[in-house]
Amino acid sequence: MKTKKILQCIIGVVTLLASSALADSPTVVKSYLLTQVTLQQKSTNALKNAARRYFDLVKAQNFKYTKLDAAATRKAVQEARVAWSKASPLYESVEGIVAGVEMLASFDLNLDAGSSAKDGGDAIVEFDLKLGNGQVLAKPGNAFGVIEGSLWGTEKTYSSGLPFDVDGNGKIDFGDQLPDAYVLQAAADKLDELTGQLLETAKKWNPTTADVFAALVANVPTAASVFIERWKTSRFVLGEKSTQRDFNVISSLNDLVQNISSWQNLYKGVTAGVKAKNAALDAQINTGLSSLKSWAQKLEAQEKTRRFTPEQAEAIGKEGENRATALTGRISQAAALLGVKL
Amino acid sequence: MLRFLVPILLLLSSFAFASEPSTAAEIVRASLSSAQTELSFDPASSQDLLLTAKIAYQNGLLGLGQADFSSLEKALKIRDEKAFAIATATLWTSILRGAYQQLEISLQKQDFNAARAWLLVREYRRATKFNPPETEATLAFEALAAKSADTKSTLLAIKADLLGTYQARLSEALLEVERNLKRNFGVLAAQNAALANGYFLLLEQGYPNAKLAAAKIAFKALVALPSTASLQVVQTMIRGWRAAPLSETERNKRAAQLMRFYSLIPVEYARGVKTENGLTQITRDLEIAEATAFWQGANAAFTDLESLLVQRNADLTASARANLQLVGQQLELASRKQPVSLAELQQAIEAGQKPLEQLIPAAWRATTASADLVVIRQHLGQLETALQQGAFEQAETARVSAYAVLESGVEARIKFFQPQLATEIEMLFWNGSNPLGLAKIIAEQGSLEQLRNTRRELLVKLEQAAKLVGTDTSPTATFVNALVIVFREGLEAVLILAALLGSLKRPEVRHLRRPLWVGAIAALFASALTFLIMRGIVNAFAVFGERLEAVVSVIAVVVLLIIMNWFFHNVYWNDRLASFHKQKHSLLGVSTGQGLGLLVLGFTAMYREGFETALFLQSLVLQSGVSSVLSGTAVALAAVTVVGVLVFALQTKLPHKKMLVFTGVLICAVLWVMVGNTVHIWQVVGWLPIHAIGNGFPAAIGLWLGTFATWEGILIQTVAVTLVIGSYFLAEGLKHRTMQQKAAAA
Repeated sequence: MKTKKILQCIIGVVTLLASSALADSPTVVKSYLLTQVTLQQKSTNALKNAARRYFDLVKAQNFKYTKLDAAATRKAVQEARVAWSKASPLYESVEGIVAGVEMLASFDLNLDAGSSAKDGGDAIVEFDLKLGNGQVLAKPGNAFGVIEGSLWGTEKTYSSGLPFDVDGNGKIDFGDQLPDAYVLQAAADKLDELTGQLLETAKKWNPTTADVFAALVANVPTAASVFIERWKTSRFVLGEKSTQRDFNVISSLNDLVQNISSWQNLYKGVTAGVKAKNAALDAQINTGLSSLKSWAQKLEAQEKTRRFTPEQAEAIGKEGENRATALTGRISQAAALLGVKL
Repeated sequence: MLRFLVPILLLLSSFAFASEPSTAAEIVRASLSSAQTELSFDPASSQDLLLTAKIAYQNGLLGLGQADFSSLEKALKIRDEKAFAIATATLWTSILRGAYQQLEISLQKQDFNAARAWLLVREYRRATKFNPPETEATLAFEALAAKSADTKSTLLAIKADLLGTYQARLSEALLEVERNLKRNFGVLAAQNAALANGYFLLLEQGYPNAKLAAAKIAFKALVALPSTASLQVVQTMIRGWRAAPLSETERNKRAAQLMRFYSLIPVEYARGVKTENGLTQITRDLEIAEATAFWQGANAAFTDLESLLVQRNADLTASARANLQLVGQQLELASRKQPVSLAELQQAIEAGQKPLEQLIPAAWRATTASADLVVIRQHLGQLETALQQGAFEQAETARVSAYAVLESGVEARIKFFQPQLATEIEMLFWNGSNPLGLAKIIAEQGSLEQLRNTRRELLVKLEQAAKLVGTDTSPTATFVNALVIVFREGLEAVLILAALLGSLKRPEVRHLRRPLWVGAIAALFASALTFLIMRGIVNAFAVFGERLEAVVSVIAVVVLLIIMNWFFHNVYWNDRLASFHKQKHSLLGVSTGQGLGLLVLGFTAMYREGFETALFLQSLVLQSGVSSVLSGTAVALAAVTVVGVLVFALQTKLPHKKMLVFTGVLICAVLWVMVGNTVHIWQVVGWLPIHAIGNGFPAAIGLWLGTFATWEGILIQTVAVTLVIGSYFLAEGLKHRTMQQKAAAA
């Protein structure tokens, strides 16, 4: 009996030590990443199924959208939208990790960050979309963006062009149209396929402290240069004047909030090491991340009731930049203290 | 109700909790920023936020003395956004100023806990693609705390980092004033003017005393009434001033970056635009983005150096600045799809490079390995993006650009210090097999995984190389480096000349020495000319390096084989036959072809090494200036001449028959080395396959004998020499048979 108790004690101590060691290491980042992407995969799978049902409905009517059964169509499109709206923030919550880790970075390009060949720029997606009718959309833009453009009609070429009261509120307002069934189905398949590949690749990733710092230093500055900038030209600020094709359904500020969550989770992987070297710096970084997050959340709440003047929007962008610059600086100091060269 | 409770709770908490200065400072800054936004939407909320800032100050920043919040309260009361913005900027910069002073005091007192706390109340430079935020102050402080550094050097490092950062922020704030004035953003213009004023007050200790009062008045005037005129006065007052002098290393790093990045702008731009019928269009956005990134890097480096440059020559600095700004405007136009032509951009670049060439002494332009690595990383990233998009041509361009940076920069030194590492890097860039070389991956349209694997390996090797060469750029090291490079490359050429000239001593063939000399001297001039032309545009030349060497090398080998064929068959054979008339007739009959052949041999033997030598020497000039390179070259040329003369002397002293044998052996040795090096360079550029032998030979064998551990190299070297020697013995056999036949007939 005594031996059993001693053994239990030893097992308890070992478990405690192992769990605390795990919490202190970059492994915690991987565990978070796998959990989130697994959840994302459930949603992309649901989206794929809903897109398939919608396609079957349209096909049954020989692709005559006007002949579709309104209730069944509304149900399929709504389900696809719900699944997309779940999958997108889940991805945003790991984007900071995916975009910052070399072996995963191309998934960010194809899932969420890459532009289309038509739009150009320095980050064009790698894939072509083969539609069921044999047509090929060469490098059409990131998978989330193509689906958003199709489901909400913000990209005319991905839409059927037929107005349809998707939300069933009796009015034709933003996003009320039917998607092109071929595009939606192919893009939903692609999104699900990429998510599955991301999950498999993430399982092979062995995170290091240097990986974590490199990802943070590469990502935190995007708070202003990408998310706030994107928000300034989105429908949430410019209203109907906005010409942006994606990031119109979920505000970029929400994306920023989700991204900050991924940065916080990334930082968890190194926080113990930084704290041991300089507790105040560690506290400063943790506070900086949570403060940036609450600032973005507050702004997201305000955008629903306020219209900012161009000068106010500029000042907000500047504040975002100041916060991101300070955070990046502090993270760089932490990396230097741990001997990580950036 | 809640609105009244919040301040009371916050006030109570201030008595209960004391916070770290860094936490308190961030709360003050963030609360005041939010209060400013709320001023026009919800003034009551602004009031709460102001109170939060006050409490945070009380909790953690009292060490700086009491702060004056009255301006903020007054502005809030009358809802004056501009006054509130100015007061916010003033308070924030006074916190930064106080924290810096406290840091210095704590360090002097050796109070490390206090110093560590105050060091966190600071701002950082904006991270760019090329420069992550500085960490010098943090690392210097930790070294002091660990007693591995003294207070004086720590204070110097902290001063350089922090004051350098605040000076950069001051420049940015003034730029923001200009931008916001143009957009009629009055509040933001005033706030940035106040920030600039605050940074100046922080930095004023380093400002010349005689002009300090006037400068302060100029800054105050800018805050009171931001306008183009008041801004210009301020800009004039601070032009050429630097609060914390750059260390020599930092100065050289910035100078090298400035010149390197500037020269890369037109290279990228040329790939991103095309002009047809006078109309310029963007063909590749990515290249324009890259050109812009290089411009940003060059501009940041120029800003840091400007004060030093003004001291050297204010007019030239102004001219360089104006041209840099012009290039920036041209790139901005390109980003808005209104590109100027390449010729126009090049004109602006050249106009900017000229004053910089005059302003920046060669000693400053030491090509630091780290600056090159940044550019190489950038190109490799571009390569990966291009490969992801299936743009293989673009990927190859990025690979060649990355290699050009290496070759025109640190490769010369890597070859000198660690030839094995240089060979490994070369194979990773070109056609290595484990892992696959980048050229091979692109040619075979390989996978991203293969590319990433090679890229990772390459970056590890480049880091090793940077460590190896990054510490020593002394003139002595450069002198020795230049000496060894020129001696090694010159020796090969001179041995061929000595051997061939030695064999052309007889009066009847003496005239054939002339074309050989002419070719060699012409190559010497061509190499010198190449060296001069390369000045400033070495990067563009480096792109052709390996392939040009491969072509010239094979010409040299082919000509050498032809000449040797003639040499053994005519000189040796005819000499033995002593059939002077027959020989003369034979030589005269083909003298034009032989003359041309010898001229080409003389030229190619020298120039094949001359081009690469010129490239390497130019990169050494960039590192340590022209004098040490030329001294090393002069000594090496003298040594090569001595060796040449010794070979001649030896040949003269030897009996005629032995001299011929000696010369023959010498030429075979030279042929062995030339063929080996030619096969190697063909394998590097992917024109010949590679079948490796075991774990390779020591690097010196490759360097001096041209023998590399590949089956192709050994086989072709053996075949070439066997052919020549075999043809000699064949000729000997034929001769004996003829003589026997003649004897039998007689």
